[in-house]
Amino acid sequence: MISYLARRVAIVLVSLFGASVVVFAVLGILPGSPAQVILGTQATPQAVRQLSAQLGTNKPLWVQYLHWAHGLLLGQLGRSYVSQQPIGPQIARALTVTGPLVLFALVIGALVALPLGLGAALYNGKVSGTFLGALSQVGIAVPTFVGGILLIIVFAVALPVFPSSGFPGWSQPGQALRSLVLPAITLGLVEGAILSRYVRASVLDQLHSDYLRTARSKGLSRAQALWHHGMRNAMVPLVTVLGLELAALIVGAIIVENVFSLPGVGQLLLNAVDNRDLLVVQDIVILVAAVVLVINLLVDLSYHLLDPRVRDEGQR
Amino acid sequence: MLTGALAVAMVAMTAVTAPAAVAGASAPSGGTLVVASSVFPPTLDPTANAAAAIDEVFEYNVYQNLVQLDPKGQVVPVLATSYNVSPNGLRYTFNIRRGAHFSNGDLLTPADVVFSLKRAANRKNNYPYGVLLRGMSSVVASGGKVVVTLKQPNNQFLYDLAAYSNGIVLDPATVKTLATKPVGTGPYVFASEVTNYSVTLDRNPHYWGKAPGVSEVEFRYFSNPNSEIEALKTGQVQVIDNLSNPEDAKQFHGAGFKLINGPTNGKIQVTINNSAGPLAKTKVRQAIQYATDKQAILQVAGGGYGRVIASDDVPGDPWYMPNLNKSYAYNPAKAKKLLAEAGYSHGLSLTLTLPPYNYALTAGPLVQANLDAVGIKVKIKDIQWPLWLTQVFSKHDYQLTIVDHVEARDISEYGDCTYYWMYAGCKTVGAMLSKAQGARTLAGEVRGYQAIVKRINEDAVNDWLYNPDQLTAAKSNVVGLPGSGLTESFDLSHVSIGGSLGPSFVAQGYSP
Amino acid sequence: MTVVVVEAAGARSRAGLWRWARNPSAVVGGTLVGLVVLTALVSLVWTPYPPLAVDPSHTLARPSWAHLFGTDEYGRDVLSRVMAGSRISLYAGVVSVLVATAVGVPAGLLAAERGGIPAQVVLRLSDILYAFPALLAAITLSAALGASTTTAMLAIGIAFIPVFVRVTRSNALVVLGSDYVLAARAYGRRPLAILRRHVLPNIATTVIAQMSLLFSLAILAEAGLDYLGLGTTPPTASWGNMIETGQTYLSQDPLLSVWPGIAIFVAVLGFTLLGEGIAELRNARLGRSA
Repeated sequence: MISYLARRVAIVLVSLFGASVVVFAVLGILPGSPAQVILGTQATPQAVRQLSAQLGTNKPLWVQYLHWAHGLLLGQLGRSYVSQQPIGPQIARALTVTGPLVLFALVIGALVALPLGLGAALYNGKVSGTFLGALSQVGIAVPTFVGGILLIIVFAVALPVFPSSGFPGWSQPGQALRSLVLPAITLGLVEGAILSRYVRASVLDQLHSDYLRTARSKGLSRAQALWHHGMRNAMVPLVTVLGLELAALIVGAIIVENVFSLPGVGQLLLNAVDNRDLLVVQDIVILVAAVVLVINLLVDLSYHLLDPRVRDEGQR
Repeated sequence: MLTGALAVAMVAMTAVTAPAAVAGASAPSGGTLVVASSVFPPTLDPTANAAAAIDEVFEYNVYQNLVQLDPKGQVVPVLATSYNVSPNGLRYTFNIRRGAHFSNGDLLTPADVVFSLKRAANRKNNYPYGVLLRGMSSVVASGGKVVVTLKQPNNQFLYDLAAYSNGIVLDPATVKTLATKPVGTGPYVFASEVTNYSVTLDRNPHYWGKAPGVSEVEFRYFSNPNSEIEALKTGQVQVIDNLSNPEDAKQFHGAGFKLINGPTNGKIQVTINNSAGPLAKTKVRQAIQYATDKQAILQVAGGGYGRVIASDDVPGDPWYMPNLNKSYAYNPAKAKKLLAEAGYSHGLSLTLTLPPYNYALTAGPLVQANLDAVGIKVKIKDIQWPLWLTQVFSKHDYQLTIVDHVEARDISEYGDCTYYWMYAGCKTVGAMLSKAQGARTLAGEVRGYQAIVKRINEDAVNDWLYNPDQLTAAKSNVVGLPGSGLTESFDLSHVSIGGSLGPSFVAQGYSP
Repeated sequence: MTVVVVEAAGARSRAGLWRWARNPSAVVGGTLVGLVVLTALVSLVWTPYPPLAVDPSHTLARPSWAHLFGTDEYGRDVLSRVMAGSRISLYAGVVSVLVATAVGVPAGLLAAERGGIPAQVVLRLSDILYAFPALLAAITLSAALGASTTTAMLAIGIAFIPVFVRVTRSNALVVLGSDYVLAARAYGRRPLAILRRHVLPNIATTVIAQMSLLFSLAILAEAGLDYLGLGTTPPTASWGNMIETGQTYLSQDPLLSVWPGIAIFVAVLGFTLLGEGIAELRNARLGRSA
């Protein structure tokens, strides 16, 4: 077990290293220097060269890479070229928007997915089951930015219940929550639709299992049998799917933040790209990549702990 | 980059004095003013970055200059109570305001002014507009005065000092923390920021002048023009600094709102790379002028707010010639004729590179359709701004591009032979420029510049489209907003919610 | 020798058609996909107006007989632009899925057949790519190469590679472990021949079903990138950038973003259902439950 764990962690570390090289290489060939953007159209070529030297963006790429990687290992994300501020606190502050948004969306997603998926499974083969299944297809096919715009049209323009954009900060918790409602619903509905497919498949598996048939032969209804015996088993794969979807949500938040003008990680990333604030871009991309890899690792480990067969295969 | 001998002419005879602190908006109501804008300042330090979004918030509101521009575009004394210019045009003497304090409580001294101007002119500090002060040979404090000596006479010196962040006066004790804790002498003091969301300014308790009518100003940033509109309509904000879609302006005429529109210094133009191929021929460039329906482009891309131009010549310039802008009126037949004379009767193909700005993306397809109609096939290429700066601006790797030249009085760029439109007549214009700049009378200066304006118009260096208006939408009870876009700053010194504005401020161009 | 059931060709296709016709996902999905493809083909030769033709005197017009979907801020016909936009979406879907398949399937086969170090290399590279979700890959790539349809397609294709590596490898491992492949090996068949004769035909349906599902995700992702200004840029009509500009005129004409929204919805739903249909049909043939 310990050797397996060590091997998996080592793989994640290797992947992270690879990812950092990829990110750096791609951004390294980026045309348009940060200094030129900072100085604008009044800049003389000498001034651009001078600022590049001050920022260190004129050094060979491998030197810049080592400098960046060294900082990362020490937990230092560096200083933004443009705002001259340390990047760590900037990302941390953006996370106070993106984090709650993602969690909120995950809860909404789960609230949508469970009834929808359960219903679709229990009524499988009947018209109502097909309808519920189709509903989830519809949810998946609506892009988040279209869903968000529709919600704005209905709940911010036609019926001004929620603000159409912006985020006042957590110093006003009520207002802050209110402004996260529409974005979280936008993100959560799509996630719920995707999750409901897994719920349905997972519950169907349980319904077809031997012990549930036994339970039913004792006179329990399908729903009762499922509730007493199958639910826990059905939840195991769902928890892992939930974990993987968390990664998808973080990325989905980039689009939703743009629709609703929320000052989260996504806006930070897109603005940094516009300003050629390369360190900020690198840091955010590598952090998201790290989160994805770690979630992936945790999911694998949970399988490993829960299912002995996977354990055997893992050690082979 | 120049100013009128206007100022100089007046000044040489009588020293200009700041108006006594006239009552501004009556009965300041206090409260918070929320202003919607679109681009978050990439940093808080205007001396480190050229982004206009920084000047919009901080210039004149938090930082002040010796002299500043009012919304009419005139130079007015601010941290200098008065100034005069020596008859040979080389020595400028500023009387520094006494008893003015920085927002941290430090007293403003002539030494601070000397420090600030020297810091701006020093090449080691990357001031975006520092180059405008390199003509100074010395800056010294003497008594309550600061004396600036120039290497050669420069009629634009006061304007340059007033218009840009190179002229802001800093507290030397705070320059290390400009990016986090801005400290200035202005009516407001920086309070807080939330990255990509808002910047909040509070009333400066140490302000030397009359306190503004609101106790707090919050600039709030929207990634989407529609969100701005909704926010104004639902009362989340009271002002939109500049409407991104001029189309949206119509809905703010009356009914509890007002629309303030006045000229900017911008020249939205199809910049033409004069250096090579068919575009090196004057007749081809003239054909492009005749082929573009500028009035229609102004209507669609600018919502009709602004005016058609035919040279680097806008109402903010002392030498503005409205009649010249009637030249090159839309005439596709003439364009075809000129193309045929230049040897392109069978047409030609060009690439139009567009930066990611609304006006460019809107005007681009219209220009494309116009040119197509006279036989010029145009391929549109969209690129991001950093790429535009590198490829188009620095490396001159383009044929046509559309960009808004926002800097005031930047006609001197036509005398710069390395500037990105690669104008063949740059040397001639350079000589004309020196003559105009050295002119000893206002009339002489204006004549000199008008000659340049006509010259580049005849050579059709670029296809100038229109001078856009600044479009400010606000709740109708907001008083004292700037009435034009002639300053980099969104000047809120005299703003209040409710109340009325004194006639002297209305005369300076603040909106009643 | 081959255990793959080979029926008489005619009988097989007729039976196949019948199964198709009885599978609702496949029928609905197929119809919607057909509709989108047909629109794209028609738009190549005919649209009501040229999609780029501006008309300054008729901007932001409401739907009418002259302009069924109305006009946009330049007076361009929205229906024509939605039609033309279908080409971008399909093009982006085809190229990105082909990129992912062309790299992912051979890599997955290699990892399955060789095992050992080659497999480790393939899997680790695939892990690295997996760390960059499509959107993140696209943001990085379009920052480097500039926004364009090509950049978007490339980024999406690269981000999908690990999916094909995994699906191919795990399915190929099953086939490679089967008795008949062991027998074929015993007969001295070369690895390439085994892959071609036994493995590929057996995993083809799974791969095709996956391609259809990813096709719908690719359309969504490309539209998202266009919306963020990182993919196809105006004036070229794409559903994503139409929604983006439509959003700026939301208070004046909400329909401007709704039309391309519906188009994306139809295309994505079509390809998802088609993919599920194919998967269900395959499972039914193998006697598994859906």
